[in-house]
Amino acid sequence: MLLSGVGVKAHAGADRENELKAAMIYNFVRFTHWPDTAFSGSPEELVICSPGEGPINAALGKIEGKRIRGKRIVLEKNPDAVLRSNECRVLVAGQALDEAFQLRRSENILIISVRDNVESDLASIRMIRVGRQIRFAVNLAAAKAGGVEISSKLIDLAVKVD
Amino acid sequence: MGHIVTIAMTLAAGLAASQAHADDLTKLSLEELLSIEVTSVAKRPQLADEAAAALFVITQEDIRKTGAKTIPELLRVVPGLEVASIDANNTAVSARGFNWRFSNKLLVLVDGRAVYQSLWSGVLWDQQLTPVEDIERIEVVRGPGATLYGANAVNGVINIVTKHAADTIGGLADLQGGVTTAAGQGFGRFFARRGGRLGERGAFRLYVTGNDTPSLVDANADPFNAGGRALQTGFRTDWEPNDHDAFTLQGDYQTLDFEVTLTSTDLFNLTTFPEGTSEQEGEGFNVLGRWTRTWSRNNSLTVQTYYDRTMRLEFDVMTQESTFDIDISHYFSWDRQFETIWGVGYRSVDDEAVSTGIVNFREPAFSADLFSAFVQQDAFFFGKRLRLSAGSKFEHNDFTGFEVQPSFRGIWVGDDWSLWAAVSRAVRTPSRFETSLAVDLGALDPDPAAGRPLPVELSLSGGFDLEAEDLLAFEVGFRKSWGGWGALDLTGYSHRYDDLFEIAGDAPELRLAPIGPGGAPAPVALFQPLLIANAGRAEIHGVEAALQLHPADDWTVKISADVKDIRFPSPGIGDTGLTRLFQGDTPQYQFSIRSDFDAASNLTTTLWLRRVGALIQSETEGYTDLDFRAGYRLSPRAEITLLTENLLGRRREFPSELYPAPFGFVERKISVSASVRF
Repeated sequence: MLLSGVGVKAHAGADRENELKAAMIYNFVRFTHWPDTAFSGSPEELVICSPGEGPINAALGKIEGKRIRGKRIVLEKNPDAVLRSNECRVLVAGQALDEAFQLRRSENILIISVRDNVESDLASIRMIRVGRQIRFAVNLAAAKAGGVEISSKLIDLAVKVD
Repeated sequence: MGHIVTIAMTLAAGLAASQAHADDLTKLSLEELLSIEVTSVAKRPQLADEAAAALFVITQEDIRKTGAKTIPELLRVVPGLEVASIDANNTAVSARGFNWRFSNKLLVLVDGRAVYQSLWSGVLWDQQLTPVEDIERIEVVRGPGATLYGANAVNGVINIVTKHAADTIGGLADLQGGVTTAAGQGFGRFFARRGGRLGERGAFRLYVTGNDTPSLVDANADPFNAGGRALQTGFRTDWEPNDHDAFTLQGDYQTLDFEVTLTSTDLFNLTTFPEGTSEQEGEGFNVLGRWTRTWSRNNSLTVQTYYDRTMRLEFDVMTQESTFDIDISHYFSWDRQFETIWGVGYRSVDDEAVSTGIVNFREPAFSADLFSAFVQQDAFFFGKRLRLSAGSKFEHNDFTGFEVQPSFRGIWVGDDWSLWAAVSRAVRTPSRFETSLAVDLGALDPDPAAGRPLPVELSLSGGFDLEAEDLLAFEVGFRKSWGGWGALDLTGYSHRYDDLFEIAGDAPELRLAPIGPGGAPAPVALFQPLLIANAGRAEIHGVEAALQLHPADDWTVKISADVKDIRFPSPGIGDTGLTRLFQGDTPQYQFSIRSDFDAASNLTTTLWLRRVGALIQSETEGYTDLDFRAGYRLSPRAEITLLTENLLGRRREFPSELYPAPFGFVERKISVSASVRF
């Protein structure tokens, strides 16, 4: 359980924001289900693709190596590798949102838009920033098109369900 | 001052250990992550598990899993809290004893706005209609919280925190309909909300809710009356124009009407209240504004102000209470080892009590000012494993003058356990009701066999020079967690009360009339004045335990129990039938076990068994309750819920001690609700 607390440690604002977004992405992955066939290539890994050197990637680096349902999180940042890979199960679309969508639209992929307040039909989950708060919306049609299932837990916590 | 610093932030001493958790944000749940503000001056999350106080937090998970639609129903999940229905509208809620309609030792706040009525020393629970759908969490502290919250936070503090407007974007509607058995009374509730964004930096919501509450029933399962109906509407706006400032503006309006049935025999064995069913009313509104300025992670200031007006018409007594309140608090930390929070506050309460009946007030209107200041100093040692905290509230009120309420708390946080202890003083200040009440109780008939040769006329009046009731509390607590699959929370306490209010007899007078031989005066009656005095003492010792088990991903079991021993060394006034009216009643023990099982991804179930022991003072029988809820998600936007309450049959929970109302049964209830997001 957690309650609002007292400020303790210095963080540049953007770093803190990206750390928080990375932790949220980790939770989104926990509450998303892929068919087993999605991991037939490398059953032990769950690849998060986040092309480029956007600020989110430093924070995502901290969740690399953690395990979710026995699968180790692998972060793929190289845009060319992302383009060639069939293993992206999560696509994190940051500043280069449009390019990211062009790069890859494979089967069984959860597309998460982390850029503030961008309306998109492609992202299954998009982050929404209101003042200091970060929330998220869920697009079920996009999730279905992406071949993933978003759990009711995420739907309960989403501020908006499209 | 609750708004400025939530209970956890201040009573909670576990900052040291939460450091480790909070540095790795992936250790936090998604709900926890959503409560973090994102700025350069982000507040550090703090774990309630590491509070140096008996703190429990009702989460949104609890709200969903219990299916509760009212705040008192929701409060039944809190280990050690006492919640009991008195009639269709009124609920007794307290912690660690002293429970009744006006539990005067429990302070309740909604977003930092005190809803404890100083006119009656208690909370009008049927006028607390904050929709459960808008509640972020409810923080409940058992035991004193007066160092931060001030007078009347004696046995506990409940702080209801509503959601940030950013959490309620979009629309939500919920409709519930049900029936009681065997009386077949219908009941229902509706809720509708619409929220949206105000540019990039703000959000708002509007809501409306209403309910129809069934009456309790008599032994033949006949309802006493038509129950109650209520309507409330409100809004909240949050605006954060930059990384340093946050503004909140919110308000609510409500109206309710309800029926009350009285029998001829009243509390005093005298016939003073009119028999039968009558219509009663309530109305209220409030508006609250808050500004938080955060200069750095070590330095922030909060200013909050509100106005609240509550009106009630009950038994020909029309009361109105208007409160204006402003609080300023400042937090700063230095040298990585010390944290200070201090603040000042002012409150003005204007009330009016217009009576045309039995209950009268000596002064029909009254204005009172309350000035307060507090400071709390925290220090960390041994790599922040040990945290010590000392502080006090200083208040001046118009009833008892100057009051000091200090506390000393400490916690040691191990790797997966913590041990805490606290010593604190808290006071309960008299209400207007207790200082200026004037009730003509009528007369007891002569009964020579009972040593009463003459009629005895009784009157009850408020105490002119009451002191505050006083508590000295000693508490210890232990918590232990076993990774993801279990957690234990144990608390022991010893409360010593002094100067408790009791009804005491003043010197009796003989009433004379010229009926003797030759018109000589002869006694015709005995006049016995009764007044409220600081006549009582009490000791309560108890243990509270909560165990949470998580045997599988889709299954959680929550078990809690509490037991207490209560002693009143001074005798009450037995012969007039007067109980310790202002000290309420309490069950000797309570036990609860709840299973939350997700049978499928779209089907959740909750089975909840509670046992409440017999009430000690009134010797009311205990009862066992069994509730079952099943929620089925029809689509991502729609869910239907079946709720069956009180499956084991009807029960009686709490007698009406204030009015001669019949002691009614709570029936079995079956309801279906549907909620839709749009």
